[in-house]
Amino acid sequence: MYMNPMMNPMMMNPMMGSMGAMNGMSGMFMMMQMMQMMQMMQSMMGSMGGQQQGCGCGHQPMGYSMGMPGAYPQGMPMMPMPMPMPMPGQYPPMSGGQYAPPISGNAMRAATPTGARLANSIMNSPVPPNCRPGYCYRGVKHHLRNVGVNLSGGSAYQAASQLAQRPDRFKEVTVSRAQLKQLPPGAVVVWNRSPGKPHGHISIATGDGREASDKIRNQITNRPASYRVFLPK
Amino acid sequence: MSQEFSYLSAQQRESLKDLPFSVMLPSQVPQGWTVASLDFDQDEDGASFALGLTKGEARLNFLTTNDGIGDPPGGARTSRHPHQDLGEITIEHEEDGEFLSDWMEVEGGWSALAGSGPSDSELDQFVQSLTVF
Repeated sequence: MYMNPMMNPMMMNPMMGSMGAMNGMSGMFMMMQMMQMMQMMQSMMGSMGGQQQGCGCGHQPMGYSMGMPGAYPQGMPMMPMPMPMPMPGQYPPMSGGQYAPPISGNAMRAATPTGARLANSIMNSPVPPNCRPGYCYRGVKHHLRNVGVNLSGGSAYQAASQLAQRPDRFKEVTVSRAQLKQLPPGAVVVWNRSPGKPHGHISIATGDGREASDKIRNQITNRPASYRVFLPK
Repeated sequence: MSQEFSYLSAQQRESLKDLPFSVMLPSQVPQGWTVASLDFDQDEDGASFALGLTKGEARLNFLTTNDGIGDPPGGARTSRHPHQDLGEITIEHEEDGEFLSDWMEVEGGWSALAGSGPSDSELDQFVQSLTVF
């Protein structure tokens, strides 16, 4: 019999536990690391405070929400970090998406041809075949397959990187939490995994403030995790 | 104490041995609950198993699958139910009364508990008797 309760893969911070042993070369190394951290934090604060063109939701500082330009240090012009240093117990943000442009007013109002086809797929099959509660990724895979997009992987959060690699079919945009209920039909929202929630969530906007996946429900906006939004072309 | 899984017929218990994954089921069910369905589906998105139980309007599904899942959306409230081996099982309740537990890893897949209608004390009983078959 095999039982494995969900584990929370906390990443250890290499600086913790060695602060008390700062001397000689290791002390210099520690100082360099601290300077890098300060440089990173200054850069983050500058980009967050200086321009509000990101999602503007302001709910999770330090890059916990996706789509906030400059909110995560990946790609910033700074000294290379030895390794990412997420907060203990937190999953790192999904990579990518931080430079997605804000959604335009036109995109908010109009369904694209693929978006309309996705809406039709949802109307024809609000609960896709063999789709039970919690099978959100299965439901979304079903609808996207109907418009020629095949996704793989077992957990919902895994869709984000795949959709980002299909610029021929999807455009990633930055959307605030308040705007999520105004998404046009066919917009795909991918929620990242978070502590205790290792699979994330995925849904397709129906265009009326609701979302479709394993069933149709009101659009989720308050999940304590980061998210990415993809508009079908 | 009654025999484990005695609420299932011998034929149903035998069919569980052919599944491509282990399943997490209650070893016993509280009084009044009966088996409504026992389903296994396999398609291009993977394999899926569900045991459905009902009691009046209340219904419960014990799910196991190996593909295409997400964490429970929740939204209304969260309830927590103790299990002697797993610690605490979290169940997220939605505004429409439906609920889904966090997914629990089993051999070859993931199991969860979903449904609507049972009281929290009944959920306690079900969770306490969860056993890998």
